[in-house]
Amino acid sequence: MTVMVAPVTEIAANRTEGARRWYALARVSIAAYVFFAAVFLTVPVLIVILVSFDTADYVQFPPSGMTLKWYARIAASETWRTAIVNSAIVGVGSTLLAVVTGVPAAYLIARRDFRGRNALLALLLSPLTIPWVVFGLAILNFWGAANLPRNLFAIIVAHSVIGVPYVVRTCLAVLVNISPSCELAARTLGADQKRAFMLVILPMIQMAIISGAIFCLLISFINVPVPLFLTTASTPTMQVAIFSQMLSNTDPTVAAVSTIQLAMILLAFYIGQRVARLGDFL
Amino acid sequence: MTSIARHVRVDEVIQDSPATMAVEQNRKMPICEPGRAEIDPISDLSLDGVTKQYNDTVAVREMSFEARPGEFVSFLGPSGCGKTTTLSMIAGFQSVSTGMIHIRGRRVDGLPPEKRNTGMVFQDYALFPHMSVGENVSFGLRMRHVPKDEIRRRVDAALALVRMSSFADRRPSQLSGGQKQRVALARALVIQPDVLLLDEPFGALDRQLREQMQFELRTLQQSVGITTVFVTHDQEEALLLSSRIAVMNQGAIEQIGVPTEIYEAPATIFVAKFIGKSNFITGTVVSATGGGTSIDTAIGRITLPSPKQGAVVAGQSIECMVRPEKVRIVRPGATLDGEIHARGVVQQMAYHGASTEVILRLAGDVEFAILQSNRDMALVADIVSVGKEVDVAWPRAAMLLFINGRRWG
Repeated sequence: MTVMVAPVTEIAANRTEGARRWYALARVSIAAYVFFAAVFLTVPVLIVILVSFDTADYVQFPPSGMTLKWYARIAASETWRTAIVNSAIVGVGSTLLAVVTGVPAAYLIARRDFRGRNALLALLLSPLTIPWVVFGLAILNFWGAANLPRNLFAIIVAHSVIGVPYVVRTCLAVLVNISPSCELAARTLGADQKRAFMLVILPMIQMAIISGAIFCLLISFINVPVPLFLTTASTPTMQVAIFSQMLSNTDPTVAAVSTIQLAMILLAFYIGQRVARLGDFL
Repeated sequence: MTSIARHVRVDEVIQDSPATMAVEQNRKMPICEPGRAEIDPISDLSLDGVTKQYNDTVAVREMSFEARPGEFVSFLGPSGCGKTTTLSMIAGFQSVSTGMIHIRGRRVDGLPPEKRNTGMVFQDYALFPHMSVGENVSFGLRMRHVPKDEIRRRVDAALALVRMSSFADRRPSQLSGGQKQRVALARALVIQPDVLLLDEPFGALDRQLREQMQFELRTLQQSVGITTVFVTHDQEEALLLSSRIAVMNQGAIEQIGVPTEIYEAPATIFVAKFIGKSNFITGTVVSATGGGTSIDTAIGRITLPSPKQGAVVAGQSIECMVRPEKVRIVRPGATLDGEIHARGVVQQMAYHGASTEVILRLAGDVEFAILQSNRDMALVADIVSVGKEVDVAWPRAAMLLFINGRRWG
């Protein structure tokens, strides 16, 4: 036995030494990875922000001076103002629509056992897997075939379809952890089905709803391909306007619009994080 | 207090009205027999031929039963026996396929849960996490549009009843298991339900707390006088708490009776095996006359007085059962007249503190358990050890006979 002990301890010591080196290497690699990921994510965005304040008439880096004239130009431009308002309408409208359809759907999927439940869930989540370009083309064809006008409402509907999976997923994540007996308890205490839902379930999933709604809003803001198919000259969204501006125009107005949009998204995230701990659902 | 007053009224009704005399008569008859269509209009809860069927499986079969005012009735059985389904049908979470449910004479089987006036305590307590303890308890009263100051008064009283007054502003997440259960109980009782339904409420508590809460629940239930239906798979809990136990198996009541009846006189082999421990010895009837029945078994011929009801024929297979604690270990030759005795080799001994369980192997490879208090054990300690042969004896009256799964007699 004593003969065995010495080599075993030695091996263990070597192994510990090896593991220590390995961990040190892993730590350095991860730190480097995170650093470069952060640089690649933020530096281009920071450049856009800087460019939006540049005095030069074209996009250049480093900037040559400081001005707010591009922002003033946006404020003065009918096109940009319309685009921003359109984006806001589409964002809020599609979010409301996604919440109104997604929350009951999530509730049904979590609480009721019915034929086609899994199919319904797959259908509701499928927009996550369909390329936006394909979806945009599809809904354009559908809208044309149904002879419906290509107005803001069309974009609202399309965006709500894309946003619904986020609402369904955040709500489902919470609903499956709520004991069904909570609702049953409310029923025995005298609440009918509607009041049990409104007074017990809804308050318990409100954070999930807010989180899902903010995701919807963001997805609507950043979506280019879908509105690209559905907009007309009179109904551009911010993204479409940026996109078409980029094709024809190289002045920093685009950078300024992008900065405004970035500010809106950050604000939504900040509010979401403060109100509903959005990070829990990411 | 209101319930006690009601209790008195119910008794007066029974005495005053000749029409209810028949009902009184009915009560003395077995209540659990399937298909029996007797409804006692003044029982707090009655099930009449209640069946629950899903597609081609029957979860609850032709169940009839009634709970008298103030009674504490337990549904006891293994998982899947239909006890929880039955409770769900009483509460209104599941519909009945056929049959009727009455609560205080009011037919409720077509009503949604919120119209049945039942109070329910769930296994996971089902407290609303986004409301304070006080808001949880007042929920039912708010649903009933009770005036504000009355709500406050009744919530205070309910919380005082469960000794949780100082916790009114806490959130459920800040409470311990026992405290959560008290709040759940207060929330169920504050609406003055017609029946209190308890779905394995002690399942999530550790042993010591469970015993304390059981005691509290029993005291509370008796002082409030509320008719209670209790679902459990824990036989000790059922024996301890119940005025009557309904032992369920495969969707039907096997036996309903007071705890001593269930334990001492099980109606079926299932009940005998499910409640407590039991030793079975298989035998064959040799002869059965008015004077006595002789049975040949692996431990020799047993002669017992014939039960008054039912008849057997020679050659019939019969199961003889005795509870482990009815058997005592005796010194050789120390058996008493009128006792059944056997001899076996000690296989195992398990020390339980207050008692010792001894497993014997009798003649014919029959395994046989004995539970002996350690006071009695001390008297025979010198002759009992693993591997030794010992004599055991038990009174004839302690031996129960079962034919085709049902008790004879």
